[in-house]
Amino acid sequence: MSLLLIVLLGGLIFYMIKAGNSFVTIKITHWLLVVYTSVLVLSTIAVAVLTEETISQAKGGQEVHDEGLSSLYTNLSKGQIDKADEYLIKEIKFDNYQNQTLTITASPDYGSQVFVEKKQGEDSTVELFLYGNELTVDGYDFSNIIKLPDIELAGHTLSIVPIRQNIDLSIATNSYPIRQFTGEFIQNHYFSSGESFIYLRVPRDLELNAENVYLEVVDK
Amino acid sequence: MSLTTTSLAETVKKQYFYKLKANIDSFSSLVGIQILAILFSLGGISSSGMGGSFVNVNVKYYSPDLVLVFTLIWSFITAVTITTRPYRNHDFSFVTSRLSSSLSNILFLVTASVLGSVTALLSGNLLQMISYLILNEQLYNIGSGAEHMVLGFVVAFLYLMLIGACGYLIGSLIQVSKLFVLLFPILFIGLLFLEGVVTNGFIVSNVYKFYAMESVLFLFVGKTVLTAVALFIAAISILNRLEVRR
Repeated sequence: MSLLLIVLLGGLIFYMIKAGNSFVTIKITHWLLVVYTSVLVLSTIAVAVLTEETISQAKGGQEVHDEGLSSLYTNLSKGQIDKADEYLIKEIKFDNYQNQTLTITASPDYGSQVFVEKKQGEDSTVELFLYGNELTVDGYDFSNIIKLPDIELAGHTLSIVPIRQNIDLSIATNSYPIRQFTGEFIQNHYFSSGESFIYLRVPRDLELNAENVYLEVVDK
Repeated sequence: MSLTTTSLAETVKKQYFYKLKANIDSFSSLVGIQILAILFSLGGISSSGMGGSFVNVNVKYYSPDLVLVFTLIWSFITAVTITTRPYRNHDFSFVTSRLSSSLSNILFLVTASVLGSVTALLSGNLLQMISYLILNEQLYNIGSGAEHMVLGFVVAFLYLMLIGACGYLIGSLIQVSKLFVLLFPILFIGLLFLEGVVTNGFIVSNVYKFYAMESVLFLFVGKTVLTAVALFIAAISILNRLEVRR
């Protein structure tokens, strides 16, 4: 459809020039118009090719995301991780953990919640699940550009190292004549981002220590 | 006495093509004003941000809104300009009447509005390309597809026609009496002051709401087309009262 409009525009200009040409010779204004519209047409084609993939529209608005985050917290605190699959970002297994203690450490200002579930049976595997709320801007999902924290198990220390990120986004929106009828707003932006939770499944006799994390033992 | 008779349609057609040629420089100013608006828009038309312990997000929004505003101003000025005496005197190169002159002027404004609306909306793509290629920004496009582009062109065209019709009427009134040159700015600025005083808005905000806040396309088209037609009829009536040539 855009191409059709472009062809129509080109035709209109061509016709105008041709019509004008019957009175006078082509002057620089005609060329200025032709060059300008050509640049606009080329830009239109280039935009389709060069800009990022169309970002997906996340479900719902601010309230839906807040509710989702709240229910995620509730489900994790009750150990109902089967209900939290939607927010699962990463799953890591540390097999055959033989130490008697596990120290979970993070950067002082990380401040994230770590839920711990002690396994019922004999199992020496430490399982880690990283859950998170996606990054959305005005309901559009930009989660793919968020860098996940580095999680390492060295000896008896599980360290969580979040990565500082300054994200600069440029978003091309519809013009006002379109927004007037689609109901989009150029003001009142809303974000949802950044909340992440770690859920650990550890052997039942493991002694846990926490440094700079809020540890919450799940009582199933 | 001439034995040659020409139809109104033929006269209007000749005058229209002549005006396209004679007023071609107004399209140069359209290009200039849109490039200026694009430059002003390079910083984004709005921005917002969010900060956390580890993630800071800054968002810059691009849209051709400012280009459209500048194009509306251009449309208004062009409409006023073509009612001035030097431009009206062009008509006397042809067998002419006040009606044919006005109809050819309106056709010229329609053409200008088509060109203005299409270029204004397509300039949004140029804006994106500049930010992507020159400013090296990671650009995401959340604009709608082709069907909304058509909607945008139609609505922008109607806005340009509406403003063009306002300009044409004001230009016509100024031809009747030069007092309007003083009266209109005083009236406009006075109304803006009143807007600041009156609690629920006065004329300007209500006019803005009437057109720009209308979310039903059918009603918007009705409002703009009827208003533009009424304004053009009023302008034609006023210009018909002018002397043949002063």
